[in-house]
Amino acid sequence: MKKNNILRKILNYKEFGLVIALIVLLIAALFINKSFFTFGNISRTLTNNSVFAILTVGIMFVLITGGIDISIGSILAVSGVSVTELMIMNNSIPPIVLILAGIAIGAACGLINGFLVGKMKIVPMIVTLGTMYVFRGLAFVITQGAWRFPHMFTEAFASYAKTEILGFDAIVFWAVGLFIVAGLFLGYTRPGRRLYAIGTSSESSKVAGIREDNVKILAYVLCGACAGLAGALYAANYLTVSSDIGKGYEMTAIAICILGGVSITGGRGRMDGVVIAVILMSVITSLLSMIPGYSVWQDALQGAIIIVAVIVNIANGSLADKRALRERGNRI
Amino acid sequence: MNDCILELNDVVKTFGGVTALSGVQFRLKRGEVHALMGENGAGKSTFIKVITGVHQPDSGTILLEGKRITLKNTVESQKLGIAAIYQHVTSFPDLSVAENIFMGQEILTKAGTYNWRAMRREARKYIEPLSPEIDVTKPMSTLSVAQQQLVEIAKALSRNARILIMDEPTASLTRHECEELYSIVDRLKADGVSIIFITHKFEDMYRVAGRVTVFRDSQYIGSWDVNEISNAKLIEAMVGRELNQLYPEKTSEIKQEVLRVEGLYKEGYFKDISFDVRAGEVLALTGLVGAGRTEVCQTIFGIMKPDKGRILLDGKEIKINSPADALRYGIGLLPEDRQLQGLVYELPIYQNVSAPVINNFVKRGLISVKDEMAKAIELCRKIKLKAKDIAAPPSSLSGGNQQKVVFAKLLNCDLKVLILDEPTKGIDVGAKNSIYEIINELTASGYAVIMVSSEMPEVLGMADRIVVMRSGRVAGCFNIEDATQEKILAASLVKSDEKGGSAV
Repeated sequence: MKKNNILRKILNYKEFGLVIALIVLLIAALFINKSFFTFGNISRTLTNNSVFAILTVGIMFVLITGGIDISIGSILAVSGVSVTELMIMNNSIPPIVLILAGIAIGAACGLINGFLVGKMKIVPMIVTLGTMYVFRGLAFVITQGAWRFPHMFTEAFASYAKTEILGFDAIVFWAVGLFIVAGLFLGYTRPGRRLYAIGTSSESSKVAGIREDNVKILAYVLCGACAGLAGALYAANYLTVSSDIGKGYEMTAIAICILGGVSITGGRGRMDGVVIAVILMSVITSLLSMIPGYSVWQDALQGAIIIVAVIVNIANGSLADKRALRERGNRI
Repeated sequence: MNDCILELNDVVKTFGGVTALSGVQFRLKRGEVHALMGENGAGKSTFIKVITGVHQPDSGTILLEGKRITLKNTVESQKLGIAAIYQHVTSFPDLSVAENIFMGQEILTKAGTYNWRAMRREARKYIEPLSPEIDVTKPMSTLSVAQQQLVEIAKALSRNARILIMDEPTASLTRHECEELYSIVDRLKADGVSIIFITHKFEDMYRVAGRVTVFRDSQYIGSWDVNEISNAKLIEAMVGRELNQLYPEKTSEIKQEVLRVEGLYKEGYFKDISFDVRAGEVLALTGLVGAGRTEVCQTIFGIMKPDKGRILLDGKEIKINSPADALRYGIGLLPEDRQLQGLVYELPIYQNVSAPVINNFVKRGLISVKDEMAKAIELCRKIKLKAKDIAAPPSSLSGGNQQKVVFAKLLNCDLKVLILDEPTKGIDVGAKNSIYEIINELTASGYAVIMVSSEMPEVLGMADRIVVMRSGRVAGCFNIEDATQEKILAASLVKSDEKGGSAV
């Protein structure tokens, strides 16, 4: 009886499909290349995807409200280059201050997006398309087109991403920590739940007395802050910075969110789904890079996966609609 | 006078030029259930929105326990203990039932985070007496419409409302659920809650209400003790209007049958719909809002697909899979919402008129604007459109003239059957008359017209035959000679012994 319950719980688990996909992929990995399962490879894979993971959390906030932010790649760049320049100007600034500065710069960028979307009521796609260029331009102005290379970075700053803890790089723990904090925020706090409320029904939110504009601003500020953190950690991890960093990352982050079940129209999206999606995407890229000649397929495959994920979501949705209609029909 | 908890005097509310409430009064006694009745569009919904602070009255006073109040928004009315359960559910479909109930008044832990456990427990406490099978952890969207309404009721209960407004709460409930609701209403009454119960069902009124107030045409008609007024008198109070010279003399001659539907069925919307319409005839499809009339029309026009049933045109069965099919067969629809579905607001009038038949004006692969305009002008003359410029967009026209553009568009197609969904909705009296004349001319020239209308005088003034729908079924058919307002209203209201609609 009890066993039955557990089984049902597993089957009813929302991200069941994703978990199955992940398991299938991991079994495939066994045949493709056994060295996938070496600790070194797993650790490296996680490190390589931590920046994406942080960006994904950020954009998740915005997607849940029904918005979108395609400027996060540019925010990452502004934050990354600013932090790097600060460090070069004054080597004695404590690295934690640099990281906080990166978050603050990102949050400030997010505030601009949030103000334009929330208060000025401009379509998010247009706002962030504009600021995507503005922020990228700012990054270029700050660097004056110059590249910064590893020898210019301080040991202390780099250690914030690269110190090994239990065999994993510190940057992995930043991502994991952010997942936990963001998960709690979305699930258990009033502002977190407000993001879902305005995303699921703007009309009902008004009736419930929720200030939609302020909630939107919050979402974009949080998203910007995450992108800012990602920028600072990008610099500390890769130790090579130019105004071009993070280009196109926004699309990958959005893609991971969609794969993880975050609704592009707002209101839906759970942290566990996104975590699994991040892992899934990481496994795919890692596996492809291990098969000679197949890494060129990465983009095409990523795109195909998104479309499949969306089709599955739509199928689920129409099933639910049919069920509701049938129940109504019973009463007529 | 002191036993009144809520008192409204001379409340006036207008929207633009349309009067929604003109000098309405209302008295709600402490701990009473007060039924509010009236036809569609009598002003009940606006009245509720004034009490809850969604709309602010233009003039008049609202007294709560003898003190004058002004309500700027719903938050203020909630603070004063006024809660409303709207006819159209205002919920968050993606959020759980528990979260919906506690939206805005969440139970928090000491750390300030959501106390999900406590909220689920409390939510169950409020939901269980209403419907034990509702799982409070499931998203609202997985619930049926009736269940969602129960959640709304639970939400209001959880807010300890002193004044509870229910806008047709039993409209989508089964018999059993109604009984449950009645007992809850009784319990609330015993607890001293005052309830305004808007309903179309006499059953509701007799079961729960002590007094009844009737609105008609945005006006207050009267209040009675429920056991002092007869059904017949109440219906008279609700309809008692005079038919005047708004409707033109019939000039058409009714000929052969053109369209027939048999046993049309669509799960969740309507069942066993059969009727026919003849050339030169106006068949009115009436009933209360939500009875399924629009859905039937959309099905005939190919927007929705029926699960069962046949549609016959000139005696031959046809399959209509899309509006394009319908138009090819000669069936046209004038949609209820002309702004959204009938017109392209930004395009010039003549392009709107020619949109469905644009291929007719193509010469050597290009559109001949000259021909297109000429035809549009001809049609607009025919329907006496008042427009300064045929190239101006429809947004520059009045509501009545916009509707004429939609008519012109339909006339441009080669049609036999016209389905008109609320053709005079939101149009002022003068313009209504000219719409009626157009309809009259159309039937005279051989069109078969199906007219969906909620307005009783319009139905009686225009129709040759009347089909009344109720909860997705045909509840009555009348020839115009033996139709009266009372008969139609009686057919459209749900009878007291009807089991949620299982039998008619």
